[in-house]
Amino acid sequence: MYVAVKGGEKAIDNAHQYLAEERRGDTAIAELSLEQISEQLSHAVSRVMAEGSLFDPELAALAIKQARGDLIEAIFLIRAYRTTLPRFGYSNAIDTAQMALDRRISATFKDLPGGQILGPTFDYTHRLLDFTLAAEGLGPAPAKEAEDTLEKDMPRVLELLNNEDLIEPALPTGEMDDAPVGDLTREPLEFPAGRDLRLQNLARGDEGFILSLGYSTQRGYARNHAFVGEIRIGEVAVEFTPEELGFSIEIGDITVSECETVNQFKGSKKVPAQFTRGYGLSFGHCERKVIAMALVDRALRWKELGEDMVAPVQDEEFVLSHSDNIQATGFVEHIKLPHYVDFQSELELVRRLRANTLEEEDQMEAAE
Amino acid sequence: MTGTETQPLAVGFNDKVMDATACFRAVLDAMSRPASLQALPVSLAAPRGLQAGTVAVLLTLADMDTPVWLAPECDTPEARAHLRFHVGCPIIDGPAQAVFAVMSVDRDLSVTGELALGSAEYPDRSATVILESEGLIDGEGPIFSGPGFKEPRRFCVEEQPAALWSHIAANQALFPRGLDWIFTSPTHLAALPRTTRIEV
Amino acid sequence: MSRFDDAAYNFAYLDEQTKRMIRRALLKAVAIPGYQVPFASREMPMPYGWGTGGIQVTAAVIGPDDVLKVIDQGSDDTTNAVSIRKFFAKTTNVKTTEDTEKASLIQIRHRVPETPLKEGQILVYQVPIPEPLRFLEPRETETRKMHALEEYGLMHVKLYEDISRHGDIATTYAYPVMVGERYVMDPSPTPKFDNPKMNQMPALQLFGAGREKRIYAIPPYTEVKSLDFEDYPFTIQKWEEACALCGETESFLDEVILDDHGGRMFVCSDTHFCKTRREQGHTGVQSPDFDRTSQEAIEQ
Repeated sequence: MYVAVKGGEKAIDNAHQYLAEERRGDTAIAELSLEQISEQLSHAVSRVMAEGSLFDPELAALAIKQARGDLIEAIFLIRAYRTTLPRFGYSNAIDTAQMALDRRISATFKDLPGGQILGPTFDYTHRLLDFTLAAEGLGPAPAKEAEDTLEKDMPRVLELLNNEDLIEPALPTGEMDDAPVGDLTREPLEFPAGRDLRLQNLARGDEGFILSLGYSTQRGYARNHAFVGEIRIGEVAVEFTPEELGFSIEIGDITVSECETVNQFKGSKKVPAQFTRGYGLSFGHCERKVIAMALVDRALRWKELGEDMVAPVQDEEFVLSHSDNIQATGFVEHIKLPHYVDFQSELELVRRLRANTLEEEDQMEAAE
Repeated sequence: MTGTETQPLAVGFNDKVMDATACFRAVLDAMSRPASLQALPVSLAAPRGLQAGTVAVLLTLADMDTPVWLAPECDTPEARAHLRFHVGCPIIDGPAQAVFAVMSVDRDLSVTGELALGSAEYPDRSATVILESEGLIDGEGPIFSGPGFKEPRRFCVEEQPAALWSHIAANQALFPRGLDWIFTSPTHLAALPRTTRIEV
Repeated sequence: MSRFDDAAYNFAYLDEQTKRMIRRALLKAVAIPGYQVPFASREMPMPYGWGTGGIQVTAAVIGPDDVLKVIDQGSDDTTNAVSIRKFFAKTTNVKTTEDTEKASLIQIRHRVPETPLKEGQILVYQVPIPEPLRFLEPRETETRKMHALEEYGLMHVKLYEDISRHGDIATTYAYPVMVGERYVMDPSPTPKFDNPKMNQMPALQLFGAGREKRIYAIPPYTEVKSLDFEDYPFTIQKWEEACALCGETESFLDEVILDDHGGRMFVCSDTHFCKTRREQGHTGVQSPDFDRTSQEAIEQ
């Protein structure tokens, strides 16, 4: 006799217990602390904060621990938590010109006011496994303090070009600096989307997806001839103006990465020859992400600049609809859920279509 | 805040979560079964100018994201103070941007022509009109039919305004664009979505 | 660390502002049957594609007196149905049931229950891709125009191409329907077997697509017509077999593989329906007390 499968609830509970045990691993090994994760896996924390859309290193560390290091799973945990947080209002726009810099480089000028600051970078490291890290307890020698303090005046590289009208202004003429910006977490995204929503979407978007799209522009799919005008990484103050106070108060500091690209532009029917801009910004140290984001941002501006649409990276609906790794992972993975009813429908159809064909063949043979 | 100086603010929902849920189910029933009367599931104080049914609907559905327009007969200082405090919705001066418009059922309804009707692409972006009445009457009045009706139903309001039904019939002709109507009284509510057909 | 104390969530998880936003969308959806209302879908603690739209609709509708049933593939006991039912039991404390008749609110994935639904019940469908035209035209900007202009020729062309290629319409689930003679609508990936149940259904039908951020609805007693052609009328799946457990011949059957030499049997996909029939004394070929002679007598 056949007995139908039962016991889904018990199986789920058992699986989750098994997961918890596996997450912890061998209990003879010391457990990871959140401080260890946020201090020693800080780039993972940065990515979780950037794509999770929530600046909170401690929670990001917790999410990474809970997700066993699966960063997309960790981002998902942060997103689901973020949704439940009350909103008190919107902060003032951050001013990255006032950033306390860890790093600032420009590829477009050899030297510039304020200087090039390498900061803590993987650049120019030789990618050789450092076996001394495998030995515990050996701390690195402390980094040397800079002999000079940073110059106070640290102008944005692109503004140097702007002074000569060689580059388009950061805001199109006529657009107000304090114009309200959209928020795709509160209103469903519609197309065409403004640049504000595009940038928000890219900032939350999957690093791998944005990276590949940015790469595609360099290989000729809507090439936009980008130079890194400036990358800045450091801390900026977040200010908030409560309505009842009428003046702004500082509520904390956040680490951000910013990339502004200078893009060659020969001009079009609409716009004279001039350098144009691409922009990338994210929470934390996410340099790769913001460079790629600036390339994609610039590619998506084809319509405004009178260019032709020739490549996937320029297709706003395609890019913005598929950049979110939480949406993507959910939907891609959902095909592992039971689908046996639909599959049964398809089985029935294929059997019937085959039976029809075979019947026709039999009839033809009989006729011959 | 004029008006509140002499009169204390009436209370809102007793239980914000459960009362809103119960009222929403009443509105959802009303919209799914047009022209059927739904008893208000909560008893509510109403400020001068508004019916308890209206207050229940706005407490349930309106907030800072939904501009509300009050027609002059409903627009009292008490009503404004009440909505500001309990609902937190913007109260706007003209009907054009309103998500909810509140008016008396026996007024000249031509003002609803200024409300958003939605577009062909987004017919949902139309206003909902809350029509206040002294009483809703089951089983009398015009015959209604359409989605939500197993059989046609009759329904009318105590005031018997002459132009009301032809006005609502004209709105029905705009489908899928158009306004949706919620009728409120001190004790009940009913609704006519834009799909409902009328035989007077 | 006090910030990590178990945070208390609102009744049905969603905050009240989110519920109001969803409730407004639901009312417009009911007012425009079959039209997809955009809504600001929230990130839920379950993955997109696993019922987040249905869950948000249920969360916005559910009240303390509701009795909730959740099925996936027709079964109350499939893992995701168990998980969603548990979520609501935990966040609302409402009664849950497997009994279709006793439920006031039924969230479903891929099946409509076999037991006819009644007035006053609410059916919530989980929808992955709400746009019926999506596989013909991937762009939302284009499909929205088509709906606005009631331009559904492309869909008919697709169905007709099926007929010329296969001699039959090769769509077996998510089979498009026309609602209230105006909007072509995706019924969610339910088998076309369930389409006729949607027509003039006494219960209210609500549809939630979380990832795609759309809500739509069919009010009670509304015309829902499966698209077809005069010479190729719409038909539903039929099985030569009866349910091996309860002997039913008119329900949707799941095929169960019994061994690796082609042995298989068919059982009702609606597990509660099947159980009720067995309790009433109906039997199938796999029942221990199956009486072949009485079964044959019934069939004759």
